[in-house]
Amino acid sequence: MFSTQSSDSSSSKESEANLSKFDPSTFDEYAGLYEKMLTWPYRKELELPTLRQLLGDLSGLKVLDFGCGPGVISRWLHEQGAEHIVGHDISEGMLNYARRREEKEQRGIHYSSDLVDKYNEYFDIVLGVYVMPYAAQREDLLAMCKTMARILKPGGRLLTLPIHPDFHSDPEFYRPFGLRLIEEQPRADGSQVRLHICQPPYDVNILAYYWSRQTLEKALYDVGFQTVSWKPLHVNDNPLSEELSLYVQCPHAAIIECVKEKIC
Amino acid sequence: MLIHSHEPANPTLFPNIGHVDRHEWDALVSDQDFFNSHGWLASLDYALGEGDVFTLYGNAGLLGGSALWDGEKQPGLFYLPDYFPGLDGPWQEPFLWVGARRSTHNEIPCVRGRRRGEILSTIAKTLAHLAKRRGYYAAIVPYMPLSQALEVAKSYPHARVIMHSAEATLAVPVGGLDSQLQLQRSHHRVRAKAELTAFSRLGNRVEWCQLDESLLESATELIANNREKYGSHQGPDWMRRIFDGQKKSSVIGAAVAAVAKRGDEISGVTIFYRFGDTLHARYYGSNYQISDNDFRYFVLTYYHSLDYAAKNGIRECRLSISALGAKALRGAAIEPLAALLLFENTPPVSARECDNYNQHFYQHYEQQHGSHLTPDWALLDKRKILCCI
Repeated sequence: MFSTQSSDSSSSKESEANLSKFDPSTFDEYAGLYEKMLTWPYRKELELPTLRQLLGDLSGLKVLDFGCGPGVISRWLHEQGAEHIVGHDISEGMLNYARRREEKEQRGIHYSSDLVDKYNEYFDIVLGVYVMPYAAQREDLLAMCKTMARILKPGGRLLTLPIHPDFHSDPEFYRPFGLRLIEEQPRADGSQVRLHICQPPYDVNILAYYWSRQTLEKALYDVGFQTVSWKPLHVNDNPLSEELSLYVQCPHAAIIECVKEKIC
Repeated sequence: MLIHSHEPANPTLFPNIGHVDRHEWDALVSDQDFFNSHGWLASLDYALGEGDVFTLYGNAGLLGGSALWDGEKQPGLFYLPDYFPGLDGPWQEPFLWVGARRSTHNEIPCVRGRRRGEILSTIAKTLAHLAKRRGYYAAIVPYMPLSQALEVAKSYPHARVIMHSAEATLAVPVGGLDSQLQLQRSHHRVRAKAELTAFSRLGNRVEWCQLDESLLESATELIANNREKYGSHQGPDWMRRIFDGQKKSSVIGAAVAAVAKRGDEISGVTIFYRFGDTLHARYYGSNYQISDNDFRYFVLTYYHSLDYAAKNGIRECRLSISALGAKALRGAAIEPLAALLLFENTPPVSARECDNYNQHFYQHYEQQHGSHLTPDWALLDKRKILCCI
């Protein structure tokens, strides 16, 4: 659902490797599923409040939903007060869903499959939810990070959610949250992790890739981020259910906040 | 990225489109296929009574589907015995009609991506079975874009693709009407300018309006006038019912009207619907008490629609199946529409018969419309592809 692709020549140098491996049509039939997943408890009660807190006041800011899928996060950003939102994805099936909703709802969100030159250093915030896990190779990961850095203004922030480097090794641990993470290979950089979305009525398997803390940080620093911070899930004052309390102790996804270097 | 599982597909029939998530459905509907969109189908359910909807679900959601109906029993646009003159076949038998009621453009909403062929195959097979089970001879998708009919037929061996119609479309140049006229031959440009001049000289102007209650009431009468002129017995009450259905389904929100006014009086109106980057002309109404020698139909439906479209980021105007010659002369391209016939077993018409029929159909259109035919017509030259067996 993500892309490091751009139609401009400068970004084409970023990496072609990723593009040759990634089939964007893979996600074409999962728009409805991705839409509904945002209502699942761990997302609604933990992930979104954490992102809300980290994003802060969005008024007047230009925000990119990188790997927007059906636009569910883009619409959530709109509800959080963002006015200038671009959703980017390379799955046409996902974008179709997002665009049809936009036609009906008229929120002013623009959806695009291309991050063209005009978006260089354009955004104040880039939000990349569950896109890093789909980088299959180290160079793909780097290319993805490069693209996200390219389109951020100097001093702009990236919030991104990779697979947590310390996710629970028992696949069943996450079943109460609607998914399983099954390690197809011994855990190492680039090792395959099967994401089994098993919340009834869904039964979908998606192949993702593990990246260590060190590798993720290196990739992000290498492309020009000045700070890379790992953020804990925000737990508000309301007591969590027993299940969600367990999730907080060992979440399947991490949240990283990065700030792009300012020009001196 | 790999997906491991090949989820089974689950066919389900619903008594109306309201049972299907509108966002999931519309995500599968192309810009060109507005009359199979959720809002349009729901408006038909409200106006004409509920219509069955066939769906195919996978483990991640909706994969495809189509509306179903019975066609019509009287000669006209949806009467199978009129479809293929000279081609013998079971055309007097009852068929299960696939697509929106009275729509002259039908695709099969279906996911894109790697599994599309497999899913289209399952849909075709299931529709053929369903038709048989319900006592029909077979299933038919009328007025289907040729390339898509061939795409389905490629994945289902008991399908036949037989040409029976065509529709007009206008690509919208960035510069609107002026740019379009520059692309035309000089005598076409002269005619267009003469028609526009006559329209203005007689005191007309064009306004683009949303359909409020007052305009709807006027438009209803004018559309009924026009339909009566061309033989329809469905008066204003019918149109009110149709528009009431559109209000209930909210699809009326996609409508915009080009209104010709002379003084305070409306002399003509064309109602369009926007879907994605496409504008669909659907209804035309005229006040015949005001002499109609002012080319109001062409001015509203072709000329001004191009400027409106260009200003509003629309890429294409779709102008339906009638009066193709007049539309082509004013810059429209003519796209081929086929009937996709889905039989449960060996079809009663051979591939060769279909092929011959289609060749004659193509020749006829080529003689009539020549360079106005779109490249898709060339698919009819590929005889081996045509009927897929």
